[in-house]
Amino acid sequence: MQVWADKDDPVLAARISAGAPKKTGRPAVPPEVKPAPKVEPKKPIEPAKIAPPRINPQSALRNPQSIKVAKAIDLDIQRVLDAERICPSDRADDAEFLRRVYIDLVGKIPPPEKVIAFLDSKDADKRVKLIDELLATNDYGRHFADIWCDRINIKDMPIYREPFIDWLADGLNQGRGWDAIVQDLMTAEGTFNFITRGKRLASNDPKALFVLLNTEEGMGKGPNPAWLAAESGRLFLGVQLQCAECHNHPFSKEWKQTDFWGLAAFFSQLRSVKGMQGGLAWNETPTSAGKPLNIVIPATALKNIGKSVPARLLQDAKDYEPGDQQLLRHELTRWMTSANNPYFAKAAVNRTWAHLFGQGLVNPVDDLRADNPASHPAIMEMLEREFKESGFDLKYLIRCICLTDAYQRTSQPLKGNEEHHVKYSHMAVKVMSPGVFYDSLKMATGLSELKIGLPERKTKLTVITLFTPREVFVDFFRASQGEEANPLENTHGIPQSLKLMNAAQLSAASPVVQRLASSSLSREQAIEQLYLTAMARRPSSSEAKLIGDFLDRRKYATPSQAYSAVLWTLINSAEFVSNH
Amino acid sequence: MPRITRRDLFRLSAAGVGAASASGWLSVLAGHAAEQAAQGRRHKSCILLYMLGGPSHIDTFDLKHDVETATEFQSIATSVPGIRISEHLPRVARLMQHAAVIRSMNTVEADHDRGRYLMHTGYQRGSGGVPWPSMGSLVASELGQPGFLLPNFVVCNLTDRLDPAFTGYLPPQHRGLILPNLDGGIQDVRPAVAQDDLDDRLDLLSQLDDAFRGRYRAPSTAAHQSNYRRAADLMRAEQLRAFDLSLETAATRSRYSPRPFGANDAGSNGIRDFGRGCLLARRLVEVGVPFVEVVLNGWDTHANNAAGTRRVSEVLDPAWASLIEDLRDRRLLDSTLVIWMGEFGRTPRINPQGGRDHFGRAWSTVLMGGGIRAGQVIGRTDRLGATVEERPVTAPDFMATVCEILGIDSTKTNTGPGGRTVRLVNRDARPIREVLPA
Repeated sequence: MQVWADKDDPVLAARISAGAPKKTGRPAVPPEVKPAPKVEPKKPIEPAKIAPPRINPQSALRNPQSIKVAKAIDLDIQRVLDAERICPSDRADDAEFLRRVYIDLVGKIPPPEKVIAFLDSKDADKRVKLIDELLATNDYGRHFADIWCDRINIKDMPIYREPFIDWLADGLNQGRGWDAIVQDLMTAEGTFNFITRGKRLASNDPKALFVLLNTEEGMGKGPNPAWLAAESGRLFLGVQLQCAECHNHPFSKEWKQTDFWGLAAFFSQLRSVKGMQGGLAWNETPTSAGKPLNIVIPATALKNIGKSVPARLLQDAKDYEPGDQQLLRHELTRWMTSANNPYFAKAAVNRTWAHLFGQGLVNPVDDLRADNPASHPAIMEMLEREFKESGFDLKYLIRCICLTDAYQRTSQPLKGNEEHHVKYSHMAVKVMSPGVFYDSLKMATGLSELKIGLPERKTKLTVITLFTPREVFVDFFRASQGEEANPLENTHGIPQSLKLMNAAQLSAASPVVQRLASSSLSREQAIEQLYLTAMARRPSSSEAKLIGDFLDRRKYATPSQAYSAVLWTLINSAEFVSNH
Repeated sequence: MPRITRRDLFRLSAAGVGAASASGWLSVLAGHAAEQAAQGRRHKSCILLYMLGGPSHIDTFDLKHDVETATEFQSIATSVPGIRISEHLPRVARLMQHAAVIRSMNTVEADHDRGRYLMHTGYQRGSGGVPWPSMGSLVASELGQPGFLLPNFVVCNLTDRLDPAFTGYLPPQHRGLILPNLDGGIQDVRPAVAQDDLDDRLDLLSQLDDAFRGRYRAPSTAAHQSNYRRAADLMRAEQLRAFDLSLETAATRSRYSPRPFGANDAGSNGIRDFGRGCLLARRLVEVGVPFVEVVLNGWDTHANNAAGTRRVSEVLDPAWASLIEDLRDRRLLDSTLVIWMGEFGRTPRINPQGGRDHFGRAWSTVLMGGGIRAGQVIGRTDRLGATVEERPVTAPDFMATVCEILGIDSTKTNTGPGGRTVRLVNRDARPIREVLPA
């Protein structure tokens, strides 16, 4: 598989300089409402053909469409701000923008040499170029794959993350369409093992992880139709059907219990069978034409237990009529990921928006329904359309949003607009996720791994042998399980603060400190270097003085001790863990 | 703006525990706790003695004789006429007037990890698509006091990663504080640098954070600062003395663990610290920690069941009995529920290695204290200990019982993931009314 190595990759460089491939039929912005494409005829799908790779290398620099979309977004945001007489904050300075876009797109703070180069560059297009550059690094795909790995593992099973992340990162980095990626996840086949003591859940094909995580272990059990329906609905359609598993949705008239089970019926033909090498595999019984497919509401639901519900697509007027030899999971997947689906593109747009702004256009981020409208419906509509027409290209979507003034605003509120980050008067201050925090602490200290969160006592059992230091750290720092953390909340508790304050590894002279201490830099230069490394900016004169005074007062015996103390203070600060 | 500065201990402990603070504080507060408990004003506490591996009911609390698969142990009379238990639990036997023995656990699950999850949450893993909180997190969230400086949930002797400190859908502040090493007290509570160095760093930190908060006014910054303040307070707080077992006399310590363990005592991982864990649990409950879990490993006796069970029983007996006696002497037993449970029992059948295997269909748990109606046995198994013949108790039933004893309404609901309403305990659960406080 071809993977773009970095911005120096000759293939990529050639593509960037050649500009994006021309797309036909792209509407001017703001684009008009297009009639919905024709419904595709239903026919059996060969598993192998469902996901043709679609590569959409694009560059904003030579692709004015994303800039046009960004402008249209800003117009709509400004319209709301004007209507409510809210004054927007200023544009973020280069340092704030640089750190933000690094954290959001590649999941860690920038290296200090990059900070210097960016701050000192006079190139008027440097922000646009930076966005493209980051989207072209492998770190982009890895960051989003890491996020998706957490999202699909809502049950918090011990899993092998690496193969899944490698697979998904590959697809994301190549710019595969989101539809193709989701098709792969939903229709994956695989031989897999279940967790046993000292082992993690794994399958021989990494993309099978999604179905595997929704498979029940045990005699007569297998892929769980209810879990698969709830999870694919939540993750890929942005709809919260799970309450309807047991009863009609409590807050919305939109989801009935029969909607849920009608969807679950599409997974009802899956069974676990003995696979190769002693593992298990899935087997799906093909349909026969004219034979309706029903699922019986099991005893785990609260109401209508024993009722038989026919397969039906969400919001379809009639039950699903299977053709001959169809694999229902594939039929459902095709419906889910088609451009006609009323939720699929919206869900991805909303999640991407929420990732970048700390809140969705619709909130909760996975609760799309008619009675929970978007804060900016026109933006949602336009981005949905753009996303579909780009071939469900996530990089394009990210590029459009990152190019907006709204995204590039400072997080510093003005007097009077403090509460209006929800209307995008300024950028909300997000808190680093535990994974980003870990990777950023590594950048700031130069340590190759952080042994933080591991028990003090060595044990031969699972902790050390099975889980990476990063996983242990993430487990220690993350918010509650089963819920995507609110990115605006600091969910660290006292044990986490104690750990950061007192972990020997973060108090000792880290590689970054050692390099500075053995260099010929003056104290002032070293302090500046520490700021560039940890905060991705230069210290203000008052900060430089504050720290200089602190060091004068403490009189540390060696530069190494002094710089360790300064770096300790920076990485323990609110600013460090914030994405502002 | 508030800044972390050096504060004197008096102010520190005042901030942490309200009015009850002074030097010599531990004894004062413990006395205070007992007084509050006596007046029914204090929340209850819970100590979970978790028997990792699954203890054999047939060789502990439900002895079966005169069958081919009989226990090798004698049964002994206890302080309650008619209740007989293993000869290797002699001190516990004398405290049975405080106990309700449940001999009819019926949970079916026979896999360690899933069984532990089930018994800690009252739910099958994954059920309803909800990650459920561990018993300690749930109790901490219900009974913990907001201004309490110590953690509301402490776990002693973590032996592997599938730990009982998980919070499920509850927010992370209810996560159990794990003490893998009882000598160390709370992890990370000692500064990695000199205290005055740390104080100065914290001073500098708070100035930087104040400035950042001034510029960005983010609520997350306020939360960050409050966390660091409380963490720094905790580092200097007198409450930490509760974690210091050296403050107990040698005589007390040896009552809990009379048998000395060598540093390399074979297979003693998670066993040799149990007595000290129980002593620590007592000290923590004395200062108001609502939930402490102490793990005793060693019950997974697939081979040489009799020898293995005897060995752990001999560790269990003095520790558990001393804990109950001390709580009673401190007038804290009625307000402290002590749970004895594992993930399942063990097969009546004895395998070719002389071991018993996992068995979830019929097994035993024990409740003590907490104001329960004690001195009784709940349920009955058949002559082999293979099936429940009377009063089956499921994992949700057990969870509901624990909640009700602690004064938590087991039919209550919580806000779960995505704002959905979830029940504390599974809808089908029926608490064991016979044991609930009158």
